[in-house]
Amino acid sequence: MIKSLLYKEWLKIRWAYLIMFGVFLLILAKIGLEIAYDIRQMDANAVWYNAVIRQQIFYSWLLYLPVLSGIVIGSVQFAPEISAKRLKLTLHLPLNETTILLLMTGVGFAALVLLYLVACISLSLIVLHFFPVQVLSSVLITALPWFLAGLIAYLATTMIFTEPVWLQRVLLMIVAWFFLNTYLLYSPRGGYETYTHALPWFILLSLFYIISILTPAQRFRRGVE
Amino acid sequence: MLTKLSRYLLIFITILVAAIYIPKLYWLIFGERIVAPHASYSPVIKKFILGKLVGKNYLWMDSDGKQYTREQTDLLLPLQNYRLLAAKGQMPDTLDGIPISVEEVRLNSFYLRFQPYQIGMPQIQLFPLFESNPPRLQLEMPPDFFRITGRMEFITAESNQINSEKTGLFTKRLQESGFAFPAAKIFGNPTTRKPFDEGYFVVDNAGHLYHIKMRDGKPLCIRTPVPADLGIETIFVKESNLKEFLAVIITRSSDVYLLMYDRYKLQKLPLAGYDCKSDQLRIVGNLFYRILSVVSDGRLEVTVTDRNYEVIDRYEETWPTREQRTAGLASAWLFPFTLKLQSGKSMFIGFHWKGYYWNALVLNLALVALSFFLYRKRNNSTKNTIPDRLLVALTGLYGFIALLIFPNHN
Amino acid sequence: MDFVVECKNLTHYYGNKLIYENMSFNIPRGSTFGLLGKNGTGKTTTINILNGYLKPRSGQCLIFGEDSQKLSPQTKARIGFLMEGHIQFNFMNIHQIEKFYSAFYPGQWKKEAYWELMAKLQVEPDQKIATMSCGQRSQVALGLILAQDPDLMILDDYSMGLDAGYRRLFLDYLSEYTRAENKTVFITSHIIQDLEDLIDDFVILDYRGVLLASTLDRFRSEFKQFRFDLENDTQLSLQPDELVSNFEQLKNRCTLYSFSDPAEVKAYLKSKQVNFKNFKPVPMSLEDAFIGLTGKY
Repeated sequence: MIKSLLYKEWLKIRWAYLIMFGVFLLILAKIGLEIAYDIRQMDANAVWYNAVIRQQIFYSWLLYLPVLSGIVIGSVQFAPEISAKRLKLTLHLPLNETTILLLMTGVGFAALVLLYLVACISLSLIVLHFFPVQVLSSVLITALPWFLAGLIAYLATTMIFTEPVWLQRVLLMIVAWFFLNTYLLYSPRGGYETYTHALPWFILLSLFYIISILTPAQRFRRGVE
Repeated sequence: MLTKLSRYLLIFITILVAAIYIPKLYWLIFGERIVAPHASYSPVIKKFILGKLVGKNYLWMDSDGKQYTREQTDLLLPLQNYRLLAAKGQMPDTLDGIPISVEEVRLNSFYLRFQPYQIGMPQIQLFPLFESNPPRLQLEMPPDFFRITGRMEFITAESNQINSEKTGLFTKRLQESGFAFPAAKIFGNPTTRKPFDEGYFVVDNAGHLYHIKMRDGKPLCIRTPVPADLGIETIFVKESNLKEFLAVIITRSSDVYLLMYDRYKLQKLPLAGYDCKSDQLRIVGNLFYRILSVVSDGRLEVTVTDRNYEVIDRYEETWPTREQRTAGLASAWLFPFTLKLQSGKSMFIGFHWKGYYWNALVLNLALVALSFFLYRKRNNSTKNTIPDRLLVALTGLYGFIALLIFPNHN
Repeated sequence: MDFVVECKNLTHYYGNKLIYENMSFNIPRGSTFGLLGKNGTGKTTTINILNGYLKPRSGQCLIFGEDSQKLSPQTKARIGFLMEGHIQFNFMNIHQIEKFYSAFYPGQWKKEAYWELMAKLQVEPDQKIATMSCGQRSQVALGLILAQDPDLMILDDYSMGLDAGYRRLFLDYLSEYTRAENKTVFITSHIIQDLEDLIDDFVILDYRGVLLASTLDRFRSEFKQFRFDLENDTQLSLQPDELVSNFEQLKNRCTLYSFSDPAEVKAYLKSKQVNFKNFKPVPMSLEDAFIGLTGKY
């Protein structure tokens, strides 16, 4: 049964997922090609100077990409459930409802984690090609909150779709928007690694959304209008 | 059970977000401009000259409260405004009976400012080591960056490969000077926009401070006499043609030292009430004086010294901070606490919590009563809503909003 | 008696609008129950309560003895659910959806029932359900619910959007299913004629709540239509009351619906000083009766 449920979720997200994979790889290729271009145009040490001393974020294209992918995957997975209230069919399946809901979000979550892992590994290979390992650790620390934001965006999207009342949906969007904002802050003066000290807390906070779908799903079940 | 937990987790997030952004909105609406006064010291009348914003006007006055026009102020501070006075032909030839020249005044003037966010800011541990005797006079960006791990490694940017020859040369030199690898802290001024290069100051693994430079492609490494137990927080390397000091050292206990050209001697600055994590430090030097200003929220402390850093005079002024003004006092009745993620005092994101303001309990309890009324309208049983009401009592406005967004369905 | 569905004192409002108050009905095992009524009278609301997708303002439904708000997976496996408009996972094709559902009903899944219906459909093997016609989609939904072979079928407005052929096909399969032992059906519809040979008990809803709860046989034998002509064109003002269920007048020709005998009706008319002639009972179809009871508008 679980396998079958996962199969259904995969059917919904597969195209969007493959497209997001493509988008990530394109953006990463762009980042790599840009570094190579800059090195040809203005010497490698100047490129290093910009990245290391002037704290320019040469991978800033990645800032909103995880959030975008989270929203896309969440939408393609839950829009079909909500249109014509198909979620009723899903919840009618002979499985515990909480199990069904968490398996559904689990599929998208796991797919995104895999996508982000591949993206981080690819990014690491690109960075290590041009820079010493010190730059890589800085890049990963800087970009980690962006990927956490992607996971939150996904979970928030599934939750917003599941919520049956429009006014409530807008409120959930506002909360999610502000919450995501806390993961995408630039330092007041630009620069890298600004989340270093707060990172454990932000990782912990992102887990607070992990079962968020259960709250609107309960309202859906009770037919709140 | 999980559904209940899910709701409370969401309520927690909402309270967190509300505690950040609602006060932010509040200050966006009610925040007024607060400008810290600026203090200089006049060699003409031997008094502090203050510039401050009074109402909408910027006024100049001395420490006795006597007001001056801007033009009068310029004349009182010739060592500071020499460019303007010289252009107007008003620059005096002598001060205190000592003949002065514009050229001399210019060479002896410097202005250093250290913000709390510059201390312990993020820094990738890779640095360019300049050739301090550049063949074409102008400093040039080297083709490699160094790091000091188990050795002092130079990595060529073009190939991203270690330059083993240069690495070997410098590592050997460092070892000969007794350097304990790896480096604990590395400080430099990595820019070509400076008159000359003094290289880097490096705290080794044993806490000793080393001065590392490259001259004619050869390593220079000197172990300074700076005591290992000084507790160096940060070092600002400041190359200046005056060549009085190489760098400013700030310790963990917020003592400030100048690292002098003269045998790396430490000159302690006679500061009062400086905390490097929260206060701004300004060091202004001119032909006659050193003016040391510490600016914190609502407080300015200025010390003027002679060029041997002997205290001549001090001045202190306080003014109401944002929190002490009307809008700040009112906010304590609205918000039981506030949270900020960013601070002007650090480059890092952090959780800057302020509170708990007990005044807000009045509003909190009013909101509890209101939520009690709302719940009764929805026919909720009292028992189930006790945690909700406790939450509102504790978190006030934030909790109330969170409960509106995530109503209790039990 | 053994009831599959027991609804007790259901009351529900949308906002302040009353849907029904204290509605109770029981569905015995093996019977077919119809919830009839015009659009917007609360049929889907009841289905939602039965399936646990709506918490009624008060009252309770038991299905196989379990509270419908907290159905266990085992009980859900025994309930086949057809959504209004034959909604299914339309991002799947007919193979994917069969594969999907079969895993949830091990031991009870009747693959053949599904494929028998699919064989009649003119669809490509990889055609998504979303691109099928309304009638084709209804067959997919029906095929899935038949393959599930549930003990209780809950069908929400099966006729919606179907042309006569598909409607008939649907009914053929449904009546075959009901002939099996102990299969219970809960069906809602606003088209009545189809149900003539199908339902045993029914409840008719109108905008104020339950209009009538009865069995089909009793309704057929007791609910009657009478025609009579008036001597002149005067407008009669007969309001529905204990005897008169509904009354219509066109010029001098009158139609009266009642559960009472002809003699009683005649006596009633006389007591109201109505001058009538040509009084006669008129036989009627179930649909006529339904409209006679609920009114044309």
